[in-house]
Amino acid sequence: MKLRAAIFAVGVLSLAIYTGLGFRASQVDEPLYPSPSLSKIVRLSEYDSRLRGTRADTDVYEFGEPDGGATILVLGGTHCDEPASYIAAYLLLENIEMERGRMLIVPRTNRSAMSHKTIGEAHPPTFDIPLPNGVRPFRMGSRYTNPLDQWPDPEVFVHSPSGQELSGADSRNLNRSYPGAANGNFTGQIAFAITELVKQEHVDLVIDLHEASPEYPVINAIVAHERAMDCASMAVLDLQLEGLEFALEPSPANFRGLSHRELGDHTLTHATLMESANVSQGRLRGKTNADLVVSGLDSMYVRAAKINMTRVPYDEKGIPLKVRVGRHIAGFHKLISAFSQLNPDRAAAFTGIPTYDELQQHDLGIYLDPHDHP
Amino acid sequence: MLFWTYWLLAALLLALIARELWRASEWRMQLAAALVLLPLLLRVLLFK
Ligand SMILES: [Zn+2]
Repeated sequence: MKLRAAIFAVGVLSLAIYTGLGFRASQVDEPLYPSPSLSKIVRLSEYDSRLRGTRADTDVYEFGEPDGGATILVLGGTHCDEPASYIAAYLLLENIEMERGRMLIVPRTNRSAMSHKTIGEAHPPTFDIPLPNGVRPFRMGSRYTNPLDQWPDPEVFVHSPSGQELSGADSRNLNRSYPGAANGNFTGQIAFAITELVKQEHVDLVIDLHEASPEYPVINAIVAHERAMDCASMAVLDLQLEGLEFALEPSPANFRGLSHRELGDHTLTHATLMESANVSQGRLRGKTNADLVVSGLDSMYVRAAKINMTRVPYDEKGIPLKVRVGRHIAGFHKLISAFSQLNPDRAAAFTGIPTYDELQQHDLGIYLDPHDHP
Repeated sequence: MLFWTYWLLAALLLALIARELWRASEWRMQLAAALVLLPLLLRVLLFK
């Protein structure tokens, strides 16, 4: 009896160590290879020292120099189960060459959320993007801050300073936590640091990259704060002229905690957010695996689209990662050119980033090949 | 603060269930205790 208990105990301990090592591995950042245009890397904790040494302290990549041109901030990985968000940010930071202005890229905005996965979603730990020779693995994370960093969740999450009430789990949702507070919870501190970054670096334009499920109402869209409306509407028109269907969504004034609302209200920036359609987040999806993340093809969604249950066109071609990343990259091009046309004295210019069509022709791997960075 | 209170609760529960594993005579009870131990252990060790 005691012997059996001892055997069980050893079994549990070995299992804990085995799975624990797996969980630890998902906390190791995959290497990124910034383009030669990189001027420096600072840590987010520079803007709020309480993040120093935590799982949320993350790299801010800076390209170009302060030369009078615009300062632009790209946020990838606010929600780390939205791969097009951070893969687009990785692609930008590995390829961009700044000609005028400054580009700040935070590829893992909620780095804590990249260190675990949401229970019950069956998301794969990693997925592979094919390269010209071989593959490059990328992690998949969670929508929420790791509970190891913020636990327990309250029954009701009360947003500060608005008093808006949301479900308890949203206390770990970075995009419900802006503008954040110096004495707030852990996720609020990340939001606070981003808000401080926007203020201290005088960021002119924020582009926050996201994905959502195909049945979500705000999708294939650019969401913009009032101040950014001119810029975003020009960008959406441009995108539509090129055949890319984008909707323009005004940031709702009474939905608090979102980056486009709070960064717009609490700083002088032009705050925008982009959404693409990701079936691996959807409630109607079938089998969930790494292939689904990359191919974006799910037979349940093909059926759902036939009975008008999706908010975006969806067929047997699926919505692959390269299309979703391509849409983010296309929006990035257009938002910056619109901002530059509207503010010629603060224009920004860059090269090295493919157009939507180039990306569809050449595939993601061409732009994410580490061998191009000796 | 609340974090470590919850951590202590998890550690306490872990100790109680480990005791149960040791004391139980029936193998089913022991197996059930062992299964419940796993997530508690992962949280107390801050793996997950
Ligand atoms: Zn999102």
